[in-house]
Amino acid sequence: MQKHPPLLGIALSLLVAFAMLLLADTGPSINPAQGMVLVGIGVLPWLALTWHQRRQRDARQWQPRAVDREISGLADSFDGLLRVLREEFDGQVGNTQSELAQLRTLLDDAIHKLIDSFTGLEGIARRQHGLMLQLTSQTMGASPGGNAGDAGQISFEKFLDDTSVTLTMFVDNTVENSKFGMQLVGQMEEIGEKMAKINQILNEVEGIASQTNLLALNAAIEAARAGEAGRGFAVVADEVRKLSLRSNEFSTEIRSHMADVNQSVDKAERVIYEISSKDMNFALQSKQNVEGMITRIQQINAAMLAAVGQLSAATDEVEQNVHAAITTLQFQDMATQLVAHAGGRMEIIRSILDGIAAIERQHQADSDRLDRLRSAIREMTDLIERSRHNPVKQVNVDAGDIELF
Amino acid sequence: MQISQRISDHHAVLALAGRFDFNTHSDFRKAYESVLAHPDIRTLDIDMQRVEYLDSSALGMLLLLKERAEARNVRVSLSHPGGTVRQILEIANFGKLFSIT
Repeated sequence: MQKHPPLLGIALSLLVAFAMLLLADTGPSINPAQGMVLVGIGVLPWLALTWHQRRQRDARQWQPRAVDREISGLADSFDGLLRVLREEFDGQVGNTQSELAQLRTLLDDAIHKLIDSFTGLEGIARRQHGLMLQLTSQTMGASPGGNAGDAGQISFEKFLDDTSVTLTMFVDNTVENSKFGMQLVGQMEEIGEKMAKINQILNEVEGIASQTNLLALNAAIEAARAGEAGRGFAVVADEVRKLSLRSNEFSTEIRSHMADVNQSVDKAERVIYEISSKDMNFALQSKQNVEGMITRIQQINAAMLAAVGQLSAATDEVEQNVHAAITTLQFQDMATQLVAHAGGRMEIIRSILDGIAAIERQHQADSDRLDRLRSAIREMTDLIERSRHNPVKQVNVDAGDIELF
Repeated sequence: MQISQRISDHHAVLALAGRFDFNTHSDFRKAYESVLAHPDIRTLDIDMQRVEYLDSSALGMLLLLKERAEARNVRVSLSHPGGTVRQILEIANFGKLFSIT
C-alpha cells in the first residue's frame, strides 16, 4: 500500500470532483470559478494525504540514517580492531618466525655436532680394532705382511721353536761329545791292555835277566874252580852279571814309566768321564719347560684370538649403531623443511590478515566491502587449502628412503 | 750294571739292568764285542727294560755300538725302555737312529 498513496490521492480527488459535478447538474449551472473551487476541494484531500504520506516517509527515512551511523561506528571500531590485530599478529608472527629460525639453527648445529661425534666414535672404534689386530699379529707372529725377520716383532712361538732347536742341538752335541769320549775311553782301554802286555814282556825280560845273573854267578864259580886258567872267563862272567843287573835296572825304570803312563791314562779317563758323562735330565726338564710354555702360549693365543673376534664383532656393532644413529639424524632435513613450512603458514596467516585489513572502509561502499571480505575469505580458504599440502609426508625417519653420504 | 747276553742263531740280546752310565763302559764294550765276534749274528737287541738311569755317556756308547755293529752288518735295536729312559732316548732323537720298541 505504501507505493500507492499518490494513485489513491488522485482517485480520491477525482471522486470528489465527480460528486461536485453531479450536484451541479441537479442545480443551476455553475460557472468556471465554481468549477475551479470544486476541483480545488477535490485536490485538497489529495494534497493533505500526500503531505501526510511524505511526512511518514520522511520519518521512515530518518531512522535508517541513525543505524547507518551506528554501523559506521562499528565498522570504524572493527577497522581499528583489525589494525590492532594485524599489528599484534605481525609481532607474533615475526617472533614465531625468528623462534623458528632459532630452532632451525639449534637443530642444524646440534645435529651436525652429533653426526661429527658419531662419525668420530666410529673412527675411534675402527682404529681401536686396527690397533688390536696389529697388537695380536705382533705378539702372535701372524702378521700377514710381516716376515719372521722383522725387527721388533715378538714371536713367542718362534722363540720357543728356536729354544727347541737350540736344545736339540745341545743334546746332539752332548751325545756326540759323549760318543767321542767313549771312543777315547775305548782307546785308553786298549792302551791299558797294551801296557799289560808290555808288563808281561817286562816280566819275561826280568826273568831272563835274573836267569842271566844266576848263569853269570855259576860261571864265576866255575871259573874260580878252574883257577888261573879260568881267570879270563871269570872276567866275562862278571861282565855278564853286570849286564843282567843293568837289564834289571832298565826293566825297573820302564816299570816306573809304565806306572806314570797308567796314572796319566787314569787321569785322562777321569777327564773324559767329566766331559762325557752328563745327566740327561737337564734336557728333559728343558723340553718339558718349553712344551709347557708352548701349551700356555697356545692357550693365550687362542684367548687373544677369541678376544679379537669379540672385539671385531663389537666394532662392527658400533659401526652399525653409529650408521643407524647417523641415518636417524637425517631427520634434520625433514625438521628443517617442517620448520620452513611452519614459517610459511605463519606468513600466510599474516598475509590473510593484511588482506582483510587492507579493505579500507573509506574507499568502499558497504556492499562492496562485504563482497571484498567474501572474496578475501575465499582467497584465504584457498591459501589454507594449499598450505595443507605438507612437503614432508614422512611420519618418521624409517619410512623415508634417504641416501646417506 | 748287570749285563746278560742271549744268543740264538742270528739274533743276540743284551739285557741291561741298573744304572747305565760311564762306569759301565768297560763291561758294556766287552759284552757287545763278544757278541759281535760271532760271525752269524745279524741283529742285536739291547733290552733296556730294567735300566733305571741313562746318562749321556750311555747314549755315546750306544752310538759307538751302532757304528761297530753296522761295520759288521749287524742291525741294532733298543727295546722296552722305561718312562724317563724312553724320554731321554726321544730327546736325543734316537728314534731316528735305532728302532725302539
